[in-house]
Amino acid sequence: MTNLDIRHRIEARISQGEFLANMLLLVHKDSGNVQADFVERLCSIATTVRALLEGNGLLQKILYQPSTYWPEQRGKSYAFVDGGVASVDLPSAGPIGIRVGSYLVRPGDESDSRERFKIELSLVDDLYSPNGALYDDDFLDLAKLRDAARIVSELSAGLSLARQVDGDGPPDAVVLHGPLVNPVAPYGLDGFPPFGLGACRQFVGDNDWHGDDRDRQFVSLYALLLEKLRETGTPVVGAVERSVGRDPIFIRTALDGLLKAREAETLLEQIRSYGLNDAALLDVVLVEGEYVTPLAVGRQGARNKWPRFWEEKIGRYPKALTTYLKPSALVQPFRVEAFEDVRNLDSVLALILHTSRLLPSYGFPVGLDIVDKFAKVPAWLSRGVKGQHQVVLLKQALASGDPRAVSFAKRVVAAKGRDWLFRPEA
Amino acid sequence: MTSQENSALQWPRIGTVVGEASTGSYSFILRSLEGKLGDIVATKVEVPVSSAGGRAVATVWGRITSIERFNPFFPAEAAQELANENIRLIDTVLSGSRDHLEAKVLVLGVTLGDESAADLSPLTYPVKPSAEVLYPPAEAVRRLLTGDDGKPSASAKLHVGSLIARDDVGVHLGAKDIVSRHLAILAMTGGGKTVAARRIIRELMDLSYPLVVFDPHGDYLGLYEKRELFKANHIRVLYPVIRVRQDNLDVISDLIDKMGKQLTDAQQQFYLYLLNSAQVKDGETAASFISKMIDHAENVAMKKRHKGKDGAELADELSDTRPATINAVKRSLQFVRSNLEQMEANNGRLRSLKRFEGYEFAEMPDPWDAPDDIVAPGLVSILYLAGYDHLNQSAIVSMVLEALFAHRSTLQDLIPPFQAVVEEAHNFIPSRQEGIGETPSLATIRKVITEGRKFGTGLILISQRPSRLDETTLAQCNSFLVLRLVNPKDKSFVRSVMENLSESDANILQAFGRGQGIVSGQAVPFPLLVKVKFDEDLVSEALGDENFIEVAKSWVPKTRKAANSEIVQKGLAQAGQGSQKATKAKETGGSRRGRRGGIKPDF
Repeated sequence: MTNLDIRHRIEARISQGEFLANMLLLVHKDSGNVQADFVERLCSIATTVRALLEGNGLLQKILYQPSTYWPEQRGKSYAFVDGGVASVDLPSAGPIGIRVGSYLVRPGDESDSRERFKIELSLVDDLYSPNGALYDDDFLDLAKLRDAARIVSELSAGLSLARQVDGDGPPDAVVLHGPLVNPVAPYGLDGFPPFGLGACRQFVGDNDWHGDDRDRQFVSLYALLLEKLRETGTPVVGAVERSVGRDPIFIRTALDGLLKAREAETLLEQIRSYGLNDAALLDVVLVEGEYVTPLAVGRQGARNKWPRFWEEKIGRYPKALTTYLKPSALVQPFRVEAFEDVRNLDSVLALILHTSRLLPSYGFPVGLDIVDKFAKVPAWLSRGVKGQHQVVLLKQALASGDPRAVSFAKRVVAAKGRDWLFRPEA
Repeated sequence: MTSQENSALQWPRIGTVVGEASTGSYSFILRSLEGKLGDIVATKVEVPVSSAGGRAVATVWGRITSIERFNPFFPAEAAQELANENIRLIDTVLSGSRDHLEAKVLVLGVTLGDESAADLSPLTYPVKPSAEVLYPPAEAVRRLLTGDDGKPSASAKLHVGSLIARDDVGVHLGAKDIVSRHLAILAMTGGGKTVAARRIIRELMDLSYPLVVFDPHGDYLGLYEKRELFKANHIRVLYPVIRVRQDNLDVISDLIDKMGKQLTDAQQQFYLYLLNSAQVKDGETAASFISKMIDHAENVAMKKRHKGKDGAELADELSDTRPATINAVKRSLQFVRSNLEQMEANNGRLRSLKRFEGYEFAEMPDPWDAPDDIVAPGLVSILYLAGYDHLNQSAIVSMVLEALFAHRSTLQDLIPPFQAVVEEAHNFIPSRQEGIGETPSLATIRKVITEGRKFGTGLILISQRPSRLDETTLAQCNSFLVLRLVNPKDKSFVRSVMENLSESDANILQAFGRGQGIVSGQAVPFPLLVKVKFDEDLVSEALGDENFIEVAKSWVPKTRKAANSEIVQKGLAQAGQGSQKATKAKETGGSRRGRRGGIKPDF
């Protein structure tokens, strides 16, 4: 056995049992120096970044003054949007249940119409069905289909709110739960099915809308919805609750304009080597109520990863005017995205800060927390959707008269391997 | 579908059943402001019936026992922030409108098919989750409560008030169950127990049912004051005198035991000798009999002193009795007699207060000889026990009840069935934990409460401290009216005694307002939250709450007493000066006189 073989074997076991315990013991023994070094380096990186941002006037601060801020909001209206996906897991089918809720509130309004909760859109369909209403074809990656449907649904709800609400005119701001501009390349793969015409009309909010297969593809439709949303002129922002990914895209964009390319790359290299993403680094750079002057950030990733078919379209995708806002000393900053030509972003950010401070420990806009609870598909509803799917499946199997189909349907309904239903046949 | 079912379908829908339902209870999500605690609600459920495969739609009746209200969209930490920053929810983007109301319902029973019969049966099959919860109209609830099927009712009812949640639905107690199976009215001070008792007494008076009220504080004397309202009744206010008979001499022993000093064995022996020797005349007052015993003791003492002279003969059993023993027993008897006289005087003084000016108090007739003067159709005898201590009150209650019950139980038809009302029942049937031993009335009331049903002797026990009541006795009450109770001991005691009081019902006892309570037991079809009707016209002007603050403010000391006090103090001061002089002379060795008039031995 070579040294390489032994190394492979160790690596395969390193996260288990004795190996893991021994490794943790060793880390613990040597951790003093490592920790000191880590803190030292992180401190130096953060100080440098802060100095750069501060020196170039890129740090802004919102004063948290709830007692004066909230009474000033009287007469305004704010909408919060979030979607919920039913948790339906069946081995054979690709059922989907999505609903998008909105919460529109008029601070200071003492009438019964102060709050309005509404399910803006709900979809129950089967991702596998060739004649389903949502997609026009099959695609094996169900997670991607679900994501695409959810992203479009939420944006569509945001669009309908930003246009007008019950004849009262659009709200003063629409806050979406999640990024305003998502990377679209993963949904432009070959074979990704277009949305059905009916679904598209529902998303666009226009019963006369016509579009060919290409127009009904996610990449096209999402771009269309974003454009329509931007055109409304209503301030729409997306608030991103959790930062995933290791790449500090926002810092990188900021440094691009401030430093020579090589210096910027050196600093970014250090940031990456300590595993810091934007939120983690800015957590120690920003103080309470502070945010970085919003910058236009491309969200579509490296060009070489774009599907060739969609290159031109993706190239014209809007950038997201992005900032990180730290609501309080206790919580990490979170990302806020808007269109580049957004109006009154400062006042929307003030709203975001003040609504986040209403949840001091959680530090995220309370309006989104409210609409999240409202739109969430409860377990009992998920169970209902699942039950309905099972019934349909079994009925169809029985109607087909094919014993293998019936056996399979039984297996799906019971969803357990060992059962009297599945006793091996002679 | 019957016409009743048709009409039930039109009852307003107020919610939907959710969660796990059993045959005893279920929960439902209540529409905002459509129902409240204590409301009677109904649901429809398909139940299996006796024939195989048979099923029928039943109406399940229930009572809302608790309502939980929560707003999942309003996080606690937001509330904290609002408080810290002193901002109004309405000014922010927070939501305050999405309350969830989850009501818990205690299943009372079901009615099947044509519900006009209003007979409740137990639920044998749970309510269906997702079933609609309906709000029955007043008439349907009234029919359910009274069991009234529209035909003339055979059994009399006592109207006590209305449902707390619906003042359009009256609550009635079955008169038969109250007069034969006893009722306990329990409430803390100010809870409205006297008002409730007066209400029931009034209803019984309307039925001309004989009543004997043991009234330690005069709470019911107002009935006499308002006698004009009760033309068909005769109301008597009586003051007690403790009388003895040959067969209740134990009363004297009790009084000696409880009031006097503990007798030694020898003293006990002499006491028993006196008890047996003194000739009791049935119906004579206890004080007079005790005087006889004292005379007899003096007689014995005299004979002891003159033993062998003048032909004085002593019973053999007294040969060893020492004079000290005789004196000790005599002192005990004198003490008891003096106490009795004192209490009789107290009662007399109270009766002669100005506020009782128009009252014609009469001495209580001998319950053995003249029971029909105490118990008669339409007669209300109120025994005013104020001025007597608990022990004597207990002795009086014991004697009267014992006698009246004896008349009933011997079936001599001397008196009709009657209802006795015992106010401050904890003094008459104290629990063992009270550590005051058995009071004379405990055994009597126990006997009456156990056997009274057979002989038409009913009890209404009223107490503000249920936990101090004898559990065995209280448990014999078949109906309870429990008003406001706050003391945790009282609440848990009441729960232990009332089998059908649910935990949620016990929890709301402390939240009741004055006159609000829960009535349960045989007198009602199921436990009901009731608001007792307040009889304003029975409020006594003479017995209104005294304003002690005003009394104290306008208090003027008696001038004659003050003048006399001055004279005494002056006199004592002069005497003091004299004695000071004497002391001084003593200290200086002046005119000191010896014990023998100052004559010194001449040595």
